[in-house]
Amino acid sequence: MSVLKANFLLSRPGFTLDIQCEIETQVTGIFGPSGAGKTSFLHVLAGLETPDHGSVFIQDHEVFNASKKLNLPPEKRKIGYVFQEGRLFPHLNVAQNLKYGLKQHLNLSKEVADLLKISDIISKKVSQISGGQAQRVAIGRALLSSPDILVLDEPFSALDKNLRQHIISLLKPLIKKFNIPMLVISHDLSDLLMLSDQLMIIHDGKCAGQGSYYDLIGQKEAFVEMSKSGLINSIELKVDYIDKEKGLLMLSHDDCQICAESRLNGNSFFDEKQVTIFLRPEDVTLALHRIEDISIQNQIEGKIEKLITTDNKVLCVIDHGFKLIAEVTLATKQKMKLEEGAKIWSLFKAAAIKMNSRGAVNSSELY
Amino acid sequence: MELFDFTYKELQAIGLSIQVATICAVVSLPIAVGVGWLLARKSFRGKWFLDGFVQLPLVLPPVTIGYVLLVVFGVRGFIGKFLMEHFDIRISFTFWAAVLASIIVSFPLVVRAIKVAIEMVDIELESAARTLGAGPWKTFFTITVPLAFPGIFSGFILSFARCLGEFGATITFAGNIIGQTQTLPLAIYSAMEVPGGEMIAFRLAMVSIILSFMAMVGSEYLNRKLVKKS
Repeated sequence: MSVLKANFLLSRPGFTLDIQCEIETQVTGIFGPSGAGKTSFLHVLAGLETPDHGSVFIQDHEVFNASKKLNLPPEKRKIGYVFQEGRLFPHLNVAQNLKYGLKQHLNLSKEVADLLKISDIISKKVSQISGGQAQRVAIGRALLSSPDILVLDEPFSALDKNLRQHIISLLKPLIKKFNIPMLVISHDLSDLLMLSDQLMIIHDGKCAGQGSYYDLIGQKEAFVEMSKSGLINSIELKVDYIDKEKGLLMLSHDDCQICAESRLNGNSFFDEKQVTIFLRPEDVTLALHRIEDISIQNQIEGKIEKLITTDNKVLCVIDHGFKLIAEVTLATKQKMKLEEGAKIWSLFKAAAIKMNSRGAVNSSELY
Repeated sequence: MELFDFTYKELQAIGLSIQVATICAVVSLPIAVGVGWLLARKSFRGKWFLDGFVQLPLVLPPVTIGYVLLVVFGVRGFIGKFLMEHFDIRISFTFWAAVLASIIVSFPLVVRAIKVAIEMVDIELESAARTLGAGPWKTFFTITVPLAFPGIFSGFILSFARCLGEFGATITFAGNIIGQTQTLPLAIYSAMEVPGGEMIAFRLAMVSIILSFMAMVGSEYLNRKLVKKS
């Protein structure tokens, strides 16, 4: 069953959105520059804009078909829409906002409020809550309307990085619990990589690529778009323990062990079993052998899966059990005789690793 | 004291004025909300015409409005004749003529207040309600109306206050019949026409000023309270 099947053309003065796509994954990240048509795409799905031609299926239900003159109104499409600015109703309090779209037979509001950590603000007015809280209420409200699919339009853009990552960490268990497919727009690649199974790139009103992050890097148009915001490695790892003597946080993925600086995760790392680390491709050094007597803490062995040559650099996608992108120059590629399938060592400093830093978030802002 | 010595006729005029103004404001409100919403939210062919037509009584001399109403609803007017012949209903020179004249004269004011109030409601909130499963009616009554309520309420009070002061269209279309169509302004006018009626005119003018002032101040007070609450 496909989550979404869209094939439509929307023409507006000076802008055309021409989309053909089929989405089957649970969480899809939609990425693209401003004005590319990402929000219009979601508006068409939700019935807030009407295309000139084509059709839209949501969970195999046809919601729009121009030739059949079928155009279900937004309230019949069962799309939970979380808007960029939350759009909470100012004349209702938090609880009334949450329950606005709630079906009578469901009594999930308490559970959702607990999961989103908004139980304490439930009787507050909308004007009394912070931006981060408002966005969590908006997510809860959309979830409680029992949608077939949840769409989030830049839900984190008004929030700072720490708050954003906190909300993402709350969203992940919700996605699992409710098992609702989700489309999320963000201009921040690292946010999308933390949340989504697949990416869809929209550029200039067209779908410029769809697939996993590492597949898309091999596609020229998608690669160009993603490079503009800076490529990043996003790796989910298990937290093993903290080595206080060495000041290191020990992480692992299967047999592969990785050290990060322990201060990165503040005081809250004990709460976490899994963390997502970020590493810039230019911070990864390649070597043909393990190097002793070197200050770099992380040296892991893998296999080159793909080599992508761009104008003046080469991106190596390396399989370490997880995928890792390393950026080298053309000269390095030639000198090291890098080729697909060859064994390689990836080296990166513990200090080069960035991580969700929940401990740094102001607690009053969150609760 | 002569100042507070109201005669039965005067009290009748005051009562009639309040009655006409209340019915006028209550009847105008739902229609004005509908028209205001249409003008604020919908694009359609001839919108400019509807807008102009609704606003017309604002600039027309009230006597002209009364004359047009007489031509249309008078016993020889095309609607008035039909009502008379088929239902034995007469409108002109009755209480209902005073109400109709007041509605027409005050309608632009109410529509304008409500239209502006609805325009001020963020249309994106209405879209959000729709995506949460609310149909157009639920969205209108649970989002648009509560958020535009201070403006709608202002429109209601404006309509009431304007009706209290209505003169030209009423005297032309409803006449100046004591106990039936003689409202406060008409009673003041009649008193001024009669030698020695200055005190009556003064008394009624005072009542007229107090009533209008109370309506406007009350509206402003409630409006501020509502805005603060929301």
